[in-house]
Amino acid sequence: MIQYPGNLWLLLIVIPVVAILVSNFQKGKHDLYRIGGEWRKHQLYDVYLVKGFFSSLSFVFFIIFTVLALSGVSGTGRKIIDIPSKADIVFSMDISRSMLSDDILPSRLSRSKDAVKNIMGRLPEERYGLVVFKGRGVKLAPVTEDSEAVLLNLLSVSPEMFTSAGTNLESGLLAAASMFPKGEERRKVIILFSDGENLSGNPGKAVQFIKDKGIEVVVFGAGTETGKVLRDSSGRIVTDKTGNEVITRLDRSKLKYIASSLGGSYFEMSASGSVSEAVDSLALNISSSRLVTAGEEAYTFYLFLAVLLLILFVSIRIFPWKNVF
Amino acid sequence: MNNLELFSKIKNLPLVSSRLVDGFLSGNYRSVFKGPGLEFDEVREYAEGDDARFIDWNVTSRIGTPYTKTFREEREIVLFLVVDVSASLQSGSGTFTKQDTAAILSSLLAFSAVHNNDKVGAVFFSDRIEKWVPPMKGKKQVFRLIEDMMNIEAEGKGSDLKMAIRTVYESLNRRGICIILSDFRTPPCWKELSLLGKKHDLIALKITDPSDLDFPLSGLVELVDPETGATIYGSGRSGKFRREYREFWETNDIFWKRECRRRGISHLEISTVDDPVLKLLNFFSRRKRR
Amino acid sequence: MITFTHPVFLLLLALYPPLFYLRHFWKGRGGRLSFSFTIWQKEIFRPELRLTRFLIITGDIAFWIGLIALVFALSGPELVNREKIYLTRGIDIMFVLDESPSMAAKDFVPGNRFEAAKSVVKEFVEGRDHDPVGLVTFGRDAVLRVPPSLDYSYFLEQLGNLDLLELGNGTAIGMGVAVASLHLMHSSASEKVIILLTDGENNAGEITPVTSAAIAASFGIKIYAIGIGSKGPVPLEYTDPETGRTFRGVYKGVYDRDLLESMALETTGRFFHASSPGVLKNIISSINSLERIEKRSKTKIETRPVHREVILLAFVLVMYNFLIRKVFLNEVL
Repeated sequence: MIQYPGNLWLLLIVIPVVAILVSNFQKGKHDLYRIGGEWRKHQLYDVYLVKGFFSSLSFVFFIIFTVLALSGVSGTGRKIIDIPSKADIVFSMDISRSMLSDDILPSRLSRSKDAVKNIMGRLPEERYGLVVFKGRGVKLAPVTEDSEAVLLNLLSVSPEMFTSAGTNLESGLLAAASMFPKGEERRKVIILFSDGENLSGNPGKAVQFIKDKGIEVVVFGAGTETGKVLRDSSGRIVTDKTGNEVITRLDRSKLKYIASSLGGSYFEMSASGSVSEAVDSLALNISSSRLVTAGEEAYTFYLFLAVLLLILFVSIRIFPWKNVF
Repeated sequence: MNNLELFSKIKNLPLVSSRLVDGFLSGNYRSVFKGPGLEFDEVREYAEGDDARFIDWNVTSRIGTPYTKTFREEREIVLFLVVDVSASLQSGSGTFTKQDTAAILSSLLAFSAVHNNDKVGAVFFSDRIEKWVPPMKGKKQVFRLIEDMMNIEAEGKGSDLKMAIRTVYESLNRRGICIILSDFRTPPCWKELSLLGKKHDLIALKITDPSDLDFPLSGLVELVDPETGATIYGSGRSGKFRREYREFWETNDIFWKRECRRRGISHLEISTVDDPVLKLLNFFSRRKRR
Repeated sequence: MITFTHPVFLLLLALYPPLFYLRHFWKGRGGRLSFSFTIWQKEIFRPELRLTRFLIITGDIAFWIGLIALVFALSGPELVNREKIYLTRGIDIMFVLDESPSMAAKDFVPGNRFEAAKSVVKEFVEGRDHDPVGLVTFGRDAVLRVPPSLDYSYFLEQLGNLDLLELGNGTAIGMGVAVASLHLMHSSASEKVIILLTDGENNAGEITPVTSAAIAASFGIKIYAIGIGSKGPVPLEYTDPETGRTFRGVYKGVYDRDLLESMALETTGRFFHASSPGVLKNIISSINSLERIEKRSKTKIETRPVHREVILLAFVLVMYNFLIRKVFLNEVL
């Protein structure tokens, strides 16, 4: 079994390394005669060949075994992970202007709010928090048992809450991820609502943070891929510089990509029953233990060989064979 | 180059040497080297062209016609070879090491001397006197010398020329010919050399190699000096390295030549890639002209 | 913190010092070509190859660090994270803070009553551990600022942002307590506490303080009522956030002591009179020590194996050395 098969690509390094070693050997042979002198050519070559061959061999195998160790080859160790039954859920809501688009009725934002209420209604035992984001993320309600407070804050959510350019998903995720209180054994869930349009910020940084903290993520895509014209606050259709109407549409692939890179699942608001599907997918209220494979012993064998080979590599150099070099 | 090859080369030397002797030593050996001094030979009638300084006035007045004294150089000159066998001579970029070259040159010189019925002796030194071969006559002596040269395993690593010269100075009393074969990678000993030069006919023969000035083009190599055990990184592809290397040895060489000239020491450089016979011939014919 | 699952492999590190000595300092080591470059006892040719030396040294350092890192990786390094996990539910504590203009009275030096109240609340919260805290403020109206939450940083941020008169000129004590009670209503905490800080008489709001106390009592919420203010007229200064005008005057009113006492009594709480900042501080700290329940906790130890990161680091370092020597410097031996 290979845990990280992607790392096996590193084995390709062996090809240039061997090429370098071979060409260096050829070049080095003549260099050696030039410095060492023709008069002891044969003696030099003998030592050069033997030492060069074995040190190259040990180095190449060092690479191979290190890569094998890195890819976690073999091993079927298993570990039990307990999953707590309770959860803290933070809603992270995109409040960029495009969320007001009514390609899903009544609007992407209203539908998102409805989904929040729906989820809170289905899972009354959990604690909730609320974050909204545009160019930056803003906490609206800390993680609390007080659902009323969250719902109260939800009412006031609108693109006019604050001004901040852009739609920075990273700050939305990071603000949400920083809200989970410490010192409790609860699942941590972020539920993200966005249309994926004009996302800025590099979620990459947030991804590692979220993964390290063991936070689960559910992404809801709001809108349709055909999209609709964008209206400003006074209801006029927004046009770009050349006078074309700006059409806002759901960027499904981007959101799907974000969901998968976070190890989460993606749902679409326009699909019926998506909320209950999402709630089911979280499988809350079920305390369970999960078996995960952990090949922790597997790498030791290969790495041990790699270390020995590298020591051999050094030793071959150190040993002055035939008193030549 | 292994000993067998070298030996086969030296085995042919008597032949080469006889040519050499024919070429420049027959009859002129004495005038090439100053020799120990003049010995009165006889008085003969003055001929035109004779040096007027040597007219023997006593005989002239008695006989009435001008008679002149003739001299000849003292017989039995000792050729003494001071051969460096330090570890630094175990090098060279070509097929001969500096030590090989030294051996060939020594053999040539020894053959030449023996051919003229002179005595040959030698001292091999590193940072100590490795071997002392007292001056003797005969072909046997030459072969003994060659054999010694081939089989010598220097115990010392350094090259203490100063000590070697002192020893020679103290041990050789009669004026003779002294030839130092070394790479002169030795501590400076000009005072000793001058002193030896006053007592003997001294020739400093520096054995060189093309790699003395031009570091061979090569990649990075850790180099260890055979004498001191010092370590540096040699990087033949670095122009800066090669420049610095050249400057270092060039300066050293220029200094050596200048000092030799200043102190009136005959000096000669022979590279491992040179033809030793040709070089020697050139050197001696130049010297003869002087 | 780092632990090792197979620390026995660390013994391999003992091989390194001799190996290091042999590789870099041993007089007879191999990997070097004999080549004469010195004048015996006089001069050694020492080229000044700064860049080459620098590259070699960094390469060597990288190589040895890599070699050491490999042994560390072999020993199974794990990052251990100890987290204190509370097994018991803490107390829910709601602060109900008066934002009426009278809180601007300057008898609580330095600053005013409001600032003094804010600072003691801050101190109180910072001294708590795993007890959800919430914040309700009131003027003419009452508003929930922070729902009961363990997110103390959020609480403190909101507390810091509070300003007088944001909720109009008035003192709706009843509304404040009622709002707090409503937000504690569904709390699963075994103990729920309202800490009321006011300096005036109830003069606004649809719910009277007495009714609100009854509501609180019905949810099992305890009220600690703190009356703020020294006796007698005090100077007062505040800025209306709407008009931006600054008011100066003398305030003569006092809080309704009987009312607060009865509210506390109704909910089995206590009434305190804070005549100065020092007293207020003492009161808060005594409430702090009164409202303690025994907390059970366990330490959760989470380990994360980091050997892959270490191997990767070592690999990169060793390859760096390889690149430096074999590619950049074209090493021969």
